[in-house]
Amino acid sequence: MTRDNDIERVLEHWFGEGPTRMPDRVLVTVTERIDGLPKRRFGRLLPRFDAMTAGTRLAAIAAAIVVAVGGGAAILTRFPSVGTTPSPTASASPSAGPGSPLPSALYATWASFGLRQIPDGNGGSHSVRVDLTIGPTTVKIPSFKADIISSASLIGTDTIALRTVSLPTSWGCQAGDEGTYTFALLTDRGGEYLTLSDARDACSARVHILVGAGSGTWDRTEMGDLTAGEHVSTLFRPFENDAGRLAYTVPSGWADNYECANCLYLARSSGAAGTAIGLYGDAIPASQDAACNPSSPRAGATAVEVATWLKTLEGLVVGGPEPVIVGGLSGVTVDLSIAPGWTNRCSYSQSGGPGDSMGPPVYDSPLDIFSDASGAPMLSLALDTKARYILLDRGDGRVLVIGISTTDTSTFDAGLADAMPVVETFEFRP
Amino acid sequence: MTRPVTTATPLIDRDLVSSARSRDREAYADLIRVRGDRLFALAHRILRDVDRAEDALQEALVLAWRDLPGLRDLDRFDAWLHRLVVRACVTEARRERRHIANLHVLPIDVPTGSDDFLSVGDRDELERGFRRLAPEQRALLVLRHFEGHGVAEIAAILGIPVGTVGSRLHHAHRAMRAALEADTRVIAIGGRPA
Repeated sequence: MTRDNDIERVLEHWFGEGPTRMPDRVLVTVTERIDGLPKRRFGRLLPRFDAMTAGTRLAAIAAAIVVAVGGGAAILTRFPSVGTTPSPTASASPSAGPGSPLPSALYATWASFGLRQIPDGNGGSHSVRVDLTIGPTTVKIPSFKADIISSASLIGTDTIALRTVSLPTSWGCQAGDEGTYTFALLTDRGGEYLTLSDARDACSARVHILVGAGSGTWDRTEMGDLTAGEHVSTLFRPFENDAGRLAYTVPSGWADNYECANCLYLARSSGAAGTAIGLYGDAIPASQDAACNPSSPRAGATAVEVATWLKTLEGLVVGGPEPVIVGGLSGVTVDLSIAPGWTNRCSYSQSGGPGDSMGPPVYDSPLDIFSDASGAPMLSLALDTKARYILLDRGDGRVLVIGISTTDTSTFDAGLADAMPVVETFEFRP
Repeated sequence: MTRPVTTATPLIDRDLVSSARSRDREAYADLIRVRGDRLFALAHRILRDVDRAEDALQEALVLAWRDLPGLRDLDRFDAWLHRLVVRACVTEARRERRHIANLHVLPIDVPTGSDDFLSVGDRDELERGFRRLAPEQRALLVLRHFEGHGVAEIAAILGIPVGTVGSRLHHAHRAMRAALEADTRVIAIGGRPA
């Protein structure tokens, strides 16, 4: 869990309060404005339809996932058998045996995909996003007043057994309530999802949270606060094979805030303000063509050539390059900032992407530096920030980028002093 | 990054989106009618004001009608509309920050599901702290903690890299905590009874 958790819970509760219905006059005004015709023309528009229900939204989410699977973009991963217990049947009982610790691939903080209903203690419920923290033998659901904690074990290739250890008294469950859930991991290039289904649980509140009204899907968001010492990335595999992970060592006060197959994001959870380290396994120089033409020439593939390309970009102030070796990979270091007064002429995030029409972004992102293989933006530099990019030759004609940034320019030097010792521990284990 | 987005258009809406893109006003109104409550709630949570939320939502919906013919991918309608609404809210919030030097704490419009988790004093502090945040930070926190979007979803909605979302979300949490702590200090100096 991160130290942000308390404020997150408060915000989720607080945001849950307030109006939830759009006044009819908004639609009336909009239709008048877009048409310019008298209001009576739109009389049939005034009656309201019911808003999309939470169940409908969850169904839509589930449909989106099914589409992703059906499209071949995702791979459904079943864990290899860990224990000797056969796969459970519908009548499987968690008390059938003590089971094994949960697979390490589950150890993380997961965010509910969509909203879940949790009891409010007064017979009602709140509709909120819920985090789920899974460890080797525990599953913890943070609540507003007291966490619901279950002991957990693996009792089959894809079934976990839960036993309530503690929970809020108002939830209607009892300590010792048992349940089983079937689980699976859904992965794609951008993230990892856990699904929990086939619930057979004496604690109905736990079912509402873990499975909800729909797909029971959880979105892996972070590994959370890191203990001081060495860690190995879980999802980040820059060398595209099972062994290609990153080992790194951090002092206390760092968190693994986000991982994907091609990215890892470490951030200070305490101490120095706003220092963050991002790793991007296959960073491609973003198109700077004035017409946003995705087929415009790319920069050279080596780290030195990329650094040389950066120095040619209008509006970018580049310090360096300086040679560097990180984790056995050689490359160069450059320090970047946006030249005062510069206005970007073509940015993926300004246009929504080449050939796209998503409209302007919410944030001003003056200069996209790198994209991923699909052309989606990966690293951009804002007006009010500095960044250090460490460009490393992967040895396969591509460049791995380590980006170090801070909240604002005034803390950049302190942030670098904070982050570089961590970077120096990086070890790529192909 | 590739992953499903919770704002993906339900399949049943594709025909409506297509019709609206072809300038069918009634189809567009049907689309808005289904999404209006959710979008209004989103706007309200960012702006903390019913009137401003209405204004921002109207602007976004008019803009969406104007630009809808340029939307090439029907399945991105919801993410695109979300982005327009958030952008309108950010613009409105910036206007608010320019014109209102002394922020006033507004009463919560329609408390629902309230319990003793948050006291009236807690809510006042949250209002003040939240209004101290940059509009972009407010939007991030609402997308994350009200709508329940993941980092990749927020990136898709806002049109910024995933790593940038992670960084800015991290900073937004810190800013919110700092705003609340600052409020506590002010309260202590002012001597407000606990």
